[in-house]
Amino acid sequence: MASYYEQVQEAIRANEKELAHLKEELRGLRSVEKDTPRENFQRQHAQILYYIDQEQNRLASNQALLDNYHAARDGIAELRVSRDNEELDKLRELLASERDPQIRREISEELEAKEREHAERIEALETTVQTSMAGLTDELAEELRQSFLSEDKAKEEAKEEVQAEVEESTTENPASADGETEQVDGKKDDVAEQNTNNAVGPEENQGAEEAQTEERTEEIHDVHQITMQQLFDRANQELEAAELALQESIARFQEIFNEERTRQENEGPFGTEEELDNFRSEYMRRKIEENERFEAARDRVARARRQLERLEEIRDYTASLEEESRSYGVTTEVYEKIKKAVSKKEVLSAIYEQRGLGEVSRRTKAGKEQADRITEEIVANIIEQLKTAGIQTSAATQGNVTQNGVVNVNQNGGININIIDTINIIYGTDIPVKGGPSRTITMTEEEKENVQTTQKSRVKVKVVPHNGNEQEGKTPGKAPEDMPKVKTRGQINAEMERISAKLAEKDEALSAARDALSKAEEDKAEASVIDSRRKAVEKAEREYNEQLDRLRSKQEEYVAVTADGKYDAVGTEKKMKLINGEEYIADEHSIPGDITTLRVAGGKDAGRPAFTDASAKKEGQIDKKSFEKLLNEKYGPVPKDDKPGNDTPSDEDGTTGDNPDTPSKEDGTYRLRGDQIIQDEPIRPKKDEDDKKKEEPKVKTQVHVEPQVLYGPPPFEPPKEVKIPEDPNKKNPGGGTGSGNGDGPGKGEEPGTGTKVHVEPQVLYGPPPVEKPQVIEEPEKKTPKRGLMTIMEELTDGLGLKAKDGKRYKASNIKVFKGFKEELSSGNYLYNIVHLVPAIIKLPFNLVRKAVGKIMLRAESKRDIAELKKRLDGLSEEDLMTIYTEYRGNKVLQERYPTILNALLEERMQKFALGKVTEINGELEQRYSAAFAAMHQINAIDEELASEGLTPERRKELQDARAAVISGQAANIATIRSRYIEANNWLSGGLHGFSEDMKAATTKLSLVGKRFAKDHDLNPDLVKRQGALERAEMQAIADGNDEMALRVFVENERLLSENTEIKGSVFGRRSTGEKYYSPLVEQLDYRDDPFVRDLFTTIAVSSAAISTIQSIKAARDQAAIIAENNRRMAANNQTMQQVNQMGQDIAGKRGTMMEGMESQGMQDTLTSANEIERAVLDKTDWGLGTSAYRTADNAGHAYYTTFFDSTKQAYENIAQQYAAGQISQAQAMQMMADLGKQTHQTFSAINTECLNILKPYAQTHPQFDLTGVQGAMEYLQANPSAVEAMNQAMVDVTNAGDVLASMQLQQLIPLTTLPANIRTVIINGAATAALASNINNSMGAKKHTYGNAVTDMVDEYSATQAAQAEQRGNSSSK
Amino acid sequence: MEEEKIVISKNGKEVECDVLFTFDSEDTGKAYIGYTDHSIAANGRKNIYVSAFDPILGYGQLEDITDEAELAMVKDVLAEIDRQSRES
Repeated sequence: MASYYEQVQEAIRANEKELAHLKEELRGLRSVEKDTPRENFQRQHAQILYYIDQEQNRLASNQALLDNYHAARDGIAELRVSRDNEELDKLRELLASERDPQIRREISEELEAKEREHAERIEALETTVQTSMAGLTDELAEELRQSFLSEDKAKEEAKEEVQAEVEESTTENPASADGETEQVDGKKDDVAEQNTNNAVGPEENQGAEEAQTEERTEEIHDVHQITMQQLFDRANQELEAAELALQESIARFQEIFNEERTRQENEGPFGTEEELDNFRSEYMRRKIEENERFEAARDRVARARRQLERLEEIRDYTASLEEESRSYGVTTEVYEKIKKAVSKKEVLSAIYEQRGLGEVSRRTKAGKEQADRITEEIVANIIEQLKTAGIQTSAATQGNVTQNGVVNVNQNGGININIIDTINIIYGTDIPVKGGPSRTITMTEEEKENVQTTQKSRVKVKVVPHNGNEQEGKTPGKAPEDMPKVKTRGQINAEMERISAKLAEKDEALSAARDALSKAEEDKAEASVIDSRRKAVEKAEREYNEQLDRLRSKQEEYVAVTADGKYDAVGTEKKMKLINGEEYIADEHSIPGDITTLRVAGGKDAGRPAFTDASAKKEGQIDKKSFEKLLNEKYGPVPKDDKPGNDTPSDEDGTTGDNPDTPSKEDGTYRLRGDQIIQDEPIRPKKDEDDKKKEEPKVKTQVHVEPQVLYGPPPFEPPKEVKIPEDPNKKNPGGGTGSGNGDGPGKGEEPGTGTKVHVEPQVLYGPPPVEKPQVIEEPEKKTPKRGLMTIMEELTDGLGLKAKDGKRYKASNIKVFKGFKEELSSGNYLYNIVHLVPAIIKLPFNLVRKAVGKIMLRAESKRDIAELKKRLDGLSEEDLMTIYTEYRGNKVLQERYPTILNALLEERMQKFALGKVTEINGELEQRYSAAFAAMHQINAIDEELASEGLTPERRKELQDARAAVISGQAANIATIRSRYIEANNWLSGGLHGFSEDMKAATTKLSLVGKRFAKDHDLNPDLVKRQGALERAEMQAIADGNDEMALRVFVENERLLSENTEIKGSVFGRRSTGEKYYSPLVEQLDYRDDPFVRDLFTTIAVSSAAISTIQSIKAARDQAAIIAENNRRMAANNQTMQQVNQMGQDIAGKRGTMMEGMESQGMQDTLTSANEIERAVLDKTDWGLGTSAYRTADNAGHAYYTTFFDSTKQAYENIAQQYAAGQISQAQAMQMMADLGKQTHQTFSAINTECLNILKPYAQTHPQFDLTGVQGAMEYLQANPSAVEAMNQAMVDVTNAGDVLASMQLQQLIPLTTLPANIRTVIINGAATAALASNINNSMGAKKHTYGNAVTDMVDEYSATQAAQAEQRGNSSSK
Repeated sequence: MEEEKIVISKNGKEVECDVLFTFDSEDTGKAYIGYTDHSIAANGRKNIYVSAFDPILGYGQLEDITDEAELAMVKDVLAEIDRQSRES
C-alpha cells in the first residue's frame, strides 16, 4: 500500500493531468465556438472553467500539503540535530572545571549568550514545525512522525546489535553465560504464557484484556513518572545553575564595591575633576555591566522557578488523570483524550442542546457542577460505548479515533473525539505529536525504584545577599553608606572656604544676638523680651558651635590626609599621572604575544585601565553624560553631594548636606570680595563663655593680603635683583632695612610699599668714593604683579593648541572606512587591539599609495605654535621669572597644558636662564679682574715698601695707596662666591637639572657624563688644603679683613687652576687633572667632541640618503615596485645601483657644468664689451671717428680688457689650484660659482648703466628697432641673481651626486631595518646635528678650547708668580 | 568612503578582512592600517588588527608595531575615530 505521502504525490500528478485535460477541453470548445449554439457554448464553457478552478484548488491544496510535509520534515530533522549542542556542552564542562573567577565570568557570559541564541533558534524551529504540522492531514502527520520513530528504532536496533556483538565476544565470562541461560528460560515462559492466553475462553479473555489494560496503565504511569522525573531533574539543574550565576554576580558586585572603596581610600582625592569623573565613570560602567548580568541571572532563576511550578501543576494533573482512568478501567492516555475532547464547549453545547439544558455556562457554581457532571457522564458513556462496541480502550486502538475536534455520534454509532496527548505535546519527545499514539517506554526495575511519586523542587532558593542599600529583589543600588567620598583638592578647598565663610556669618549672627541681648538688659526691657533674646543668643551659639565642629572635623581630616602625603606632596604626581597616563602596557588580560588592552604603565598602582573619556568609551562605549543618564534611569538621580563641582552649600550651614566636612584653620580663611581676597580673623574654638569673650573680638577685622594659594607651600618671592655690586659692610644711612625698624614694610603690610633706597654704584678698588647723600623717593604706587594664570591665559588665548601637538608621534591623513564608521556610530562596540604581522594573500591594489603623503602638522597648528613662540619671546622679565618660579612640579601636572606649550616654555626658559648666567658671568669677570689687579698692585707696593731708602712721605703714600687698593676686597670676594652659586643654580635648572647632572656624572651613560666624569681617587691632602683655604677665606670675609680675604682667595683659585690639566681624549678635550677649574659658570659643552661630531655627521649623511632613496622610489614606476615586493632586498640593491648610477651621472657632469660656468663668466665679460661698445656708439650718436666717440671707446676698451683679464686670471688660478691638488673638484666648482657670481654682478652693473644710454637713444631713433636689445637688457636687470642661483644649484647637485655615487647599501640597511623609534631618534638627531653645526658655525671657531678670560688671568698670575719665585730662587742661589 | 578588503592567512586558512581605517605618521615615516576578520576574542570583544606599512609601497608588506609609543598612537587614533563617529 502506498504511503500517504506517495498518495499525495499521486494526487498532485492526477490534478495536473486533469487540469491539462480540462484546458485541452476548453481550447477545443473555443475552437468550435462559432459552430456551437451560444447557450450551449456558454454553459459548457462555464462548466469547464468551474472544473478547472476546482482542480486548481485541489492541486494547490495538495501542493501546500506536500510543502508543509517537506517543511515539517526538514524542521524536525534540524530540530533533532540542534537540540544536541556540543558547543554548549563543552562550555558547561568548561565552566564546571574552571576555578578562576574572571574566566568563569567570561565563560558564563558566553554560555548565557549561546544558550539564548540556541533557545531562540529552537523556538523558531519549533514554531515552523508546529505550523507545518498543523497544515498536514492527520494521516500524513502521523506518517511523518512514524518515519522518524522508525528511524530512531532502526538506529536503536543497530546499536543493540553492535552491543550484542560486543557481549557475544565476551562469552567467556561465566556470569554472562548464566544470565543468558536465564534470559532463554524467561523467553520460554513468555511463549508458554502466550499460548495459554490464546487457548482461554471469551470471559477469561475479557479478564485478561482488563488485566492487560491495567498493566498497560501501569506502564504508562511509569513512563510518565520517568518523564516527569527527568523534567524535574532538568528544571532543578537549571535553577541551581541560575542561582549560582546570581550568586556569582552578587559576589562580583561586592568585589566592585570593595575595590572602589579601597581605591577611594588609597588614591583619593584626585587631582582634577576630570580624573574624578573618569574614576566614577569607570565604576558606573562596571556596575551597569554587572547589573545587566545580575538581572539576566535573576530572570533565569525566575524562569526556572516558573518551570518547576508548571511541572508541579502537570504532575498533579497527571496524577488526577491516572486515578480517574483507573476508576474507568482505561488507560490514562485514552481517558485523557476522551475527557479533553468532551470538555470542549462545542461538545457540551451539543449535549446540552440535545437535552434542552440551555447554554453551557461555568460561571456559576451550579453551572460548573452541571458541566462537570455532564462531562463525567459523557466520558463514562463514551467509554461504555467503546467497550460495548468491542473497541479496545488501549493506545493500540487509536486508529478508530479521528481528529475533527468534536465528539459526536457518527452514523455508525461510533464516536469521533479529538485526542491530544498533553504530556507529549508540552514536555514530550522532540517529535511533535498530532493525534498519534504515545511512545511506549518500559522501565527497568531500577528505574521503577528510583521513581519518586511526589516530585518537588529540591532547590532551596537562597536568600540573596546585598550590599546593604538596595531593596530585596531590586537592583544592587548605589554604593553602601559607608563608602568614602572622593573629592578633588579643589573641591575640598572650596568646601572649606564655604564652611569657613558660613562660620563667619554665624559669628556675626551670634554677635548681633549678644548685642541685642545686652541692649535689652541695659534698657531693662521686659522679661519676655530679654528671655526671647537670650534664647536667640543660645540658638546662635548652638549654630555657631555646630559650624565650628564641622570646621574642626574637616581640619582633622585635612591634616590627617596631608600628613599622609596625599596632598601636594612630592610623589603624588605619579599617582595622578597614572590615572591619566599616556603610556600603556599590556596587562594580564592580554592574549600573550599580540593583544594589548589599555593599561597604565609604571608604578605600584598599575593594573587598572586609564581613566580617560576615550578609554571609558572604549571599555563601555558610553560617555560620562550617558553614564549619568543611564544611572539616573536605573538608580534614580545621583545625589547632589555625589556630583563633583555641584556641591551646593546649604544655606543653613554651608556644608553639602550629608557630608559635614568642616575645615578648621587657625590662622583664618580667605574669601573673595570683588577683586580682593579677604583674610578673615582666626576663628578660635570656644571653651567657655569667659574665654570666648576674651578671645573673640566683637568687631571682626579684615586684613588685605596678597593673593596666595590657600594651602600648600608659601608663595614664591622672587630674588632681589642686583644691578650694582653690594657692600654688606656699608649700611644705608638713614634707615633700617625692612620690618625691624618700622621704616620698611612690616608684617601684614604689602611688601614693596615701604621706603625704596637707591644706592650709587660703588667702586670696587682704589680710593673709597665720597659718599653722596641718599635720595629718598616717595613710595610709588606699585602695580600688582601678574600671576601665573594670567600669563598663561594671555599666552594661550585664542590658540587651538592640541594635546597631540607636542606628542612624540602624531597621526595624520586618517581615513575611516564606511562600515567601521557605522559600527562605531552604533555605539555598541567593544574591541581589542591586536598588532601582528599577517601573511598577506590578497591586496587591494587600488589602495596602494603612489607617493609619500604629506604628513605634516596642520597649517592651523603651525600658525598657533608660531604665534605661541612669538608671545613667549615677548614676555617680560618679570613674567618669565614668575613662570620660572611658579610653573614647576605639581603645578605643571595640575594645569595640564598641552605638551607643546611646555616644550616651548622650556625652550624659552633655557634662553632666559642662560641670559641670567651670562649677566652674572660678566659681573664675575669684572670682580675677578678687580681682585687680581689688586693683588698685583699690592705685590708691587709691598716690593717697593721692602726696599730701603724710602722717604717717610713716600712710605706713607705707599701705605695709604695699599690700604685704598685692598679696601673692599673681602666684600668683593664674598660677592663672587654668592653670585657664582646663584649662576650655578640658574644653570642647573633647579632640582631636576641637578639630579640629571648628577645622574650623568655618576652613571657615565650620557655623553655629558663621559665627557666630564672624573676617574680619580680622592686626594685627602688636596681636600684638606681646599678646606683650610675656604675656612680662612670665610673667616676673613666675616672679619672684614680685606687683605687676608684677597690673599686666600687668590691662593684658592691658583690651587684649582694648577690641578686642572686640559688634554684631548677620545671624548674630546677635558681635564685629566684632579680638578676642572671653571671660575665662570658654563654650560657643559660637547660641540668639539669628536665622537659626537662623527656621530652627527654619520647620522646626517645617512638620513639624507634615506630621504634621497625614498624620493627616488617614489618617482619610479609604482607597478614595478609592487611587483618587486617579494624580492625587496633585490629591489633595494637595484635601487642602490640606480642611486649610484644617478650620482655618477650627476657628478660626471661636473666638468661640463664647470665649463659652462666658465663660459658663462667669460660670456659675461664679452657681453659687457659689446654692450659698452654699443653704449659708446649710442652715446655719441654713432659718430664714429669723432673725438667724443674715440675717447669713450678707448675708456670702454680699457675697462672691459681689464675686466676680461682679471676674470680670466681668476679662472686660471682656480684651475691651477685644482691641478696642483690643493683643492678638490667640488671646491673648484664652488670657487667658480663664486667667481661667476662676481662676474655676473659686474656685468649686471654694466648692463644697467648701458641700458640708461640705450633707452633715450631708442626713443630718439625710431627708425631703428631696438626693442629686442632693450627687452633682453631689461630682463637681465630684473633678474640679477638668476645666473648666480643657477651656478649654485649646479654646485649643490653635483655635490649630492658625490654622496649618491659613493652610497653603499650596507650603509642604509641597518638604518632602514632599525626599529621605527630608534630610526626616528637618529633622524631627529640629524636635525639636532644640523642645528648644532649651524650654531657652531655662526659662533665661529672658539678662541679657547678650554677656559676664558679669567682662567687666562689666573694662568698668567700663576706663571708670573712661578717666574718670580724662580727668579728669587736664582737670586738667592747666586 | 570606499570599502576595501584584504585577505590574510590565519591559522593556515585564508581569512578575508575588512579594512577599517588607515592613517600616516610623519614621525615614524610609516602608514598604518586597521582591519578585522570580525572574530571575537575570549573576552567577547571584536579583534581589530593593526599593522604598519610602507607608505610608498602601499600594503605590499605589513609590519608589526613593536614600539609602545606607536601602539599608544594607534589607540589614540582609534579613540579619535570613535569620538568623531559618535559626534557625526
